[in-house]
Amino acid sequence: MRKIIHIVGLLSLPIIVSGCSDMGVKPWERDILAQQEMNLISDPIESSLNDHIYFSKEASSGGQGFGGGGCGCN
Amino acid sequence: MTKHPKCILLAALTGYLLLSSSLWASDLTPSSTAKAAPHQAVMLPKYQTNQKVSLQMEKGKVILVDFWASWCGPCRESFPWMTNIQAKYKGQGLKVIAINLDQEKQQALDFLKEFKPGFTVLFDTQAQLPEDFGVIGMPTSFLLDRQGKIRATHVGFHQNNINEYEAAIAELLAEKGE
Repeated sequence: MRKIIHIVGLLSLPIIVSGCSDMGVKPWERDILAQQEMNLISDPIESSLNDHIYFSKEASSGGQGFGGGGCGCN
Repeated sequence: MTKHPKCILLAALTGYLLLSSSLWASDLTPSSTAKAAPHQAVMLPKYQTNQKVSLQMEKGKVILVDFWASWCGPCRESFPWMTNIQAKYKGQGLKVIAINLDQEKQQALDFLKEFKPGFTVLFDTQAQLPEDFGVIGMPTSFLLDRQGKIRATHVGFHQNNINEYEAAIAELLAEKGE
């Protein structure tokens, strides 16, 4: 029994160790995520109005939604 | 009396900073510690001709490998500069290779129509190269010496660093190949 636990433990070690090594979006994969239709919103019209008001008030456009076309360079 | 050690420390630190080579010489990685560029044999299709080429084929030249995408603002800015330096240093053996990472090739093609590149553009639609090169932002440029080693890297493109980029290129071009 103990042996089995050891073997299972050893076998699952690489999975645990490498578990989070490949998560997240790579900088060169941001193009699709930055597209309008990739926004996590339920109501596109309301959200675009909100965005419009937001960037008019903030004097900045883009940056809302996921990537905002961000390159990750700054 | 108690201030003395502080003074000495300060003087030593200042001296060290002034003498440290990284402040004065360009920040090229010395040839002895520089790593060879990965995937030099990978063949990628060229813009316009679709002919497949690899980095290996340009060995003996100083290569600026630039990873870019059409959706990235600074990449847009870097295009005219890359065209300029390619023209300026072509005779001395500089090769600018811009590797496109767009997942939708058509967007890249539209971009290229607008920003006519005066240098080699390759398509890496499957993103085979950036991971191992260590691209951490867009654009990222790698400067390879005549032996194919990565001697300098810069992330992003900043107009006020243009002189540094160019100095590094000039320095590598002037290096005598072993």
